[in-house]
Amino acid sequence: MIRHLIVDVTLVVAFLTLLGLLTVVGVDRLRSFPAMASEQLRLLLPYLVLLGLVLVVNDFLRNLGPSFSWIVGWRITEDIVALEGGFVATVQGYSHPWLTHYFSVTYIYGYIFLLVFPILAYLLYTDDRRPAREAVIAYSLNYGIGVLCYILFIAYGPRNVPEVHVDGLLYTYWPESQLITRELNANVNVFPSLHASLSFTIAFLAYRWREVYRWWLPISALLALSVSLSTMYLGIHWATDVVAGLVLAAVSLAGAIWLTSPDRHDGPVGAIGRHLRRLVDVPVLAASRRVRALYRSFRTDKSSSVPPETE
Amino acid sequence: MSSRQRSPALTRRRFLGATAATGLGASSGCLQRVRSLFNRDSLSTLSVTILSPPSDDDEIASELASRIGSSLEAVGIGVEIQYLPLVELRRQVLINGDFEMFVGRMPPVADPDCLRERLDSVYAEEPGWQNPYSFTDLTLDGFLARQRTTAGEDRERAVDDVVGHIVREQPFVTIGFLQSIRAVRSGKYTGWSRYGPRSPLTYLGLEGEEDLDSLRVSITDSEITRNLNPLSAAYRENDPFLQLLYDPLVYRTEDGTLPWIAETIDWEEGETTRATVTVRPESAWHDGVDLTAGDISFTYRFLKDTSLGELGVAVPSPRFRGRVDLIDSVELVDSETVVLDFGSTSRAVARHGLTVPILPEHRWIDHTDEANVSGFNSVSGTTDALVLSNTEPVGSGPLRFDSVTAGSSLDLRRNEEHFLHANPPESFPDHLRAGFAFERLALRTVPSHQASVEVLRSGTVDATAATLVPTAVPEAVGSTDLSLAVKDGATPYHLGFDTSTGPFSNPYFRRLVARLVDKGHVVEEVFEGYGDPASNPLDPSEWTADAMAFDGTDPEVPFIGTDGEVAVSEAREAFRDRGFNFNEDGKLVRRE
Repeated sequence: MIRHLIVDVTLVVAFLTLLGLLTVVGVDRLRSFPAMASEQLRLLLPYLVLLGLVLVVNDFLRNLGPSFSWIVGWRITEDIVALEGGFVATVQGYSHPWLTHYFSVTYIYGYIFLLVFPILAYLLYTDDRRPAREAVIAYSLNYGIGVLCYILFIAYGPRNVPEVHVDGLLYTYWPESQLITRELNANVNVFPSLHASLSFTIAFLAYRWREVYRWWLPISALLALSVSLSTMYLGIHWATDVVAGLVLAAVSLAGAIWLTSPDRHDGPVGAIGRHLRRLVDVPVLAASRRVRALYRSFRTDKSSSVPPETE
Repeated sequence: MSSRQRSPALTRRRFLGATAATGLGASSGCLQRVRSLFNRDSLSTLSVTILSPPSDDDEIASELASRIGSSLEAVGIGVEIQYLPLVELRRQVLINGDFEMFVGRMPPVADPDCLRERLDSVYAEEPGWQNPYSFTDLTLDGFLARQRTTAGEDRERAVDDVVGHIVREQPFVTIGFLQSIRAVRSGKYTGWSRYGPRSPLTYLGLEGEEDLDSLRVSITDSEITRNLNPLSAAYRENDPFLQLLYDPLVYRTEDGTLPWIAETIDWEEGETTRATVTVRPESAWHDGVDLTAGDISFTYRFLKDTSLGELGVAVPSPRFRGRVDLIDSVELVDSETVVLDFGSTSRAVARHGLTVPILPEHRWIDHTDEANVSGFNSVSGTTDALVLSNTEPVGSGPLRFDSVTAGSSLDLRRNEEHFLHANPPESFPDHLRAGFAFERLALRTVPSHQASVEVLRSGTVDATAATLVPTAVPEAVGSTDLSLAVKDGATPYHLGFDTSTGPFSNPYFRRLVARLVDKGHVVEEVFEGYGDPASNPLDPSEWTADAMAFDGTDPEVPFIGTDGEVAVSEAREAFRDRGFNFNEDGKLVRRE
């Protein structure tokens, strides 16, 4: 059943992404990309590797986190209840079947699309690599700081706390979705909301690079707002978590801009960056040279007369 | 507790007072007055903490906690509800005894003697489900001892006294029994309601409608995929699955007992009650080693003290303490025979002692050392045996361990060597003589009851484990492929007090708290009608006299108010009558 759901989500997100590429990025840019592809990928690969590592560590820590957090973490459910009380219940006061449907779909499909699309879109933007670099670093910071918070703070979301009279709308409306969300996160990892922080990060980036893809700003802003609202509307997060997510988004983006700024190219940050990138670059360059050589020898075998070119 | 949190402030005030007093010290006469002022306890508002599982773990308990909390707050008692995952909650309540109130299910009280385990003052200091309320009462101890040694009408009278006393004293507030509801796919297995919802015999008594290879059951509590130790008090409540791995000597059923790995039991009721038990000769452990009477004698010694004398202080297994305590001594006669001596305990109670799981000596003998694990500091130290994860269990049951994936699945396989499959006893009912109707019992974890109905509908599993929450029932009812198996519940929801601290040591306070719980209303609203309110854990049964049973209203602690709504001024009046005071803001104040 969960496999069926994953396939479903993958197909929907792939379709949305394709649609986005055709409209937001544009056919011209897609056509011209293959010529630049290898160079673009080589330059951005170390960033993607970093993000991959952060995600792996993040996943490991999120699963390990809760049992560890119960021993060392700060239990803040009661503090959040005392702080905001019935806010989420008030949000749910406006519930309507259409809204529930909209927010459920946004929470799962919209959010994943929101994460996947900009990475691809900025990767395709060969004029300037800064948007892609900033996006990847900002994602990494979000996940890194987020998981640290999950270990330090342990709290249940509003749907788990009946005293605030909030429904777990997502799971009553669409019980199967919990099969996916439970795989991804534990129910005590709510502060801050990574749904909110990543969505805001993307919307902020879209604003910062609004000249790059002009239609992406309104789309991402609408989606980010919807995703953040959905976390509360569906009873998953507190307003406190969403505000914390907003702060985390600002911090992560500022951090990413600072870290990737050309001003720091000659400073220690730049030096560390180059050092790290060499770790990835050397094996990747070697591998790509080997592939190219193989490709050439294959071609020469076919034509069988021309001697292999020397580099 | 607020009094504890407040104490630094008080200390500071006292300190300032002392400083002032020293300053004034020279002017003599004043000192006396200052001292008597500052040494007097000041009034502070009462605030209590209720421990509750979150809705994900038990939506009924968390809803009850929320309702009790708001009733207490309405009257003027500050409440903080602390949400803990079930395992943490049990650890904090049952093992560390660190709580004021908690809401949850109580393990089944199958026999009045279970109440001895729950409330005898001899267990007040121990971890586990024996007296977690730290209740100490000479009168009750006397009644409990009497029901243990008597039989027939004498015992009935003794149990009446026990029930009457519990209902009056309210060491915990029994709220009610939620019915056990299980959803199953139609046309696969039948016989789901033959035994109690949590009885392992339920799975043995199933009949397959087709040629079926496996029975796939969804479970919402994934702890059994992380810990398979039958002795663990934090991880085990009363799931039936481990009992299918570890056989007892006998099973208790509604019509008496079913001799299991004991082939015969000869009772002797003279000066002491004695049972001569012979083991089924073909019994063997899952690893091939013979199961002998030596293992039985070992099990009782081991459950009484899992350190087997090595730690100086006995470290009993919390889960089976009450039952093992019934046995005074075990005498190993030969490899097939043991004699259990129950002392003055009557036979009716003694047979309860035969239901503990029998453990293989050769596997457990190595786990008698002292364990050191954080979050587990019992009063008398603890042994490795009690904290072991035991992820590859070796028992003697009709199912054997196959594989486990932490957090997601547990597979058990039919044990062909088990007497039930190899040589089913003539005396057993037909549905049991057939053994398991499947080769494999596959447990699959699902995140919620609601999701479990969806998974069931998709055909990935054949049944949900008992018991569905009422909010998931409409989903199941709406599907033609599914049917429901409903049985009366055995594990009452209750509100437990730590009766050794603060206002909870005052029975009048406990009774007043009990009177703020509208049991009838709660069963209607929270149980959605799937259940019955109860005045005590033996209500309703032949053990509760009519006068003590819940009958529209609680016989001793009737709700103050109507339809779940507390009548505040009346309730405050009731508190005032018992010497409690309220300040001008309507908050209950105490001297401390």
